[in-house]
Amino acid sequence: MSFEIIDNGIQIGLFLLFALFSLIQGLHMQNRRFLILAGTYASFSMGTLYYLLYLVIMGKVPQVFYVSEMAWMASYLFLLALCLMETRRYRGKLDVLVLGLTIVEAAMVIGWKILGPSYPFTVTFALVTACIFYYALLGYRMEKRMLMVAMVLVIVWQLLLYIVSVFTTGYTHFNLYFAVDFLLMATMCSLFFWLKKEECK
Amino acid sequence: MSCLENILVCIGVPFLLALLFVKGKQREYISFILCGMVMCLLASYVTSFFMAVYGANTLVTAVEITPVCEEVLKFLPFLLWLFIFEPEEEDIVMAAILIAVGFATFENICYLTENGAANFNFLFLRGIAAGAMHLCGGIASGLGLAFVFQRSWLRLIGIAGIMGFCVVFHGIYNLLVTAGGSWQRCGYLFPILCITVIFFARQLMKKHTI
Repeated sequence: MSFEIIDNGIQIGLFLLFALFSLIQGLHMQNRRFLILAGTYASFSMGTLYYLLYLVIMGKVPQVFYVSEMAWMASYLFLLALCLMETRRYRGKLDVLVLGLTIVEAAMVIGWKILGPSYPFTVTFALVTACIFYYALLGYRMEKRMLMVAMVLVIVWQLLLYIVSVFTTGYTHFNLYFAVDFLLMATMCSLFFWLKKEECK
Repeated sequence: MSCLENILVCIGVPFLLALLFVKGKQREYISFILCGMVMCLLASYVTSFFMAVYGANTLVTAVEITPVCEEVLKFLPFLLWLFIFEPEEEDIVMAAILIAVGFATFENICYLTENGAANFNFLFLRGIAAGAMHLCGGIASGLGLAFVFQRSWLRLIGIAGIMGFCVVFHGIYNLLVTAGGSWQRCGYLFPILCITVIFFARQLMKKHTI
């Protein structure tokens, strides 16, 4: 079996499980942050599920409309909502170093045409990830919160994943692409634990 | 060629007539169902347009183009109503469900006119599965938007996020159903399972609230 199928299968199962954990935690604690996090996990896993099913059934990747990319974008939009909720107290603050790094990050997203060849889609993704990156990094600089570190790392791994994919020729065996993907999965799952730690304080 | 607009006239006129004799909430509810039907017709036109633009075959259209067009068009009247009337949370969920029901009903009617009504077992399964799929999307968008509309800064992000979720849910169903064989059976089971889980979760939450 191709390692791509195994990797995507693990991702779907893991994120669906964490979506369930977040949903239960959110309902139990009556906390909207966990419900938004559940949206992040659920959208990501559904996007991967669509991609994997398309790959298995059709034997190729989607060519016309990017349904799975829409789901992944939805996942990052939920993450952005969570980030904005968590960083409300620093809103409007300007940090030149953080801003510089954010511009580099957004330029890389647009330059590498991450999330498809469509420019409007790439630019939207760049804006969304830039917002998460800026506020999360600002949050870390202000209060040294691990939740913010995890958010920054999610963006970094996602960026790296696309860059590595450009140089990856085969997906049948374990390689650097899958190593980065596992890092992304682990970091995304850690969001739940960091949020739980902060909310239970 | 099936003249979908003629079918809509035939199905929609009784609803329009009923609108003259009902008031308040009932009028709103009938309007939502009718709106769902109109959006289904528009979705079929928009889908055909993109199909021609991209030169896609019926399989690719069903799997990649239809979910996007249908979910976006289902969202539009709902969003317009939300922005204009700023309704209560309960009404938002009800409106989303009714638009989805109207959409699913008209879609099934069109399916019947094209494929006939001889095979009861298949039609029964399709009725439940397609209905459950649209209903799941309706419930997700209703609950989601009721949640995000409470905060103005969350609206845009929330709307886009929920729409993406609904599109991929619809996409997975269409992909499985068009694949045939055991994938198709999984496709029919997928929304039925989801709607069952939602139903029991709702019952459980009601119990806890009481």
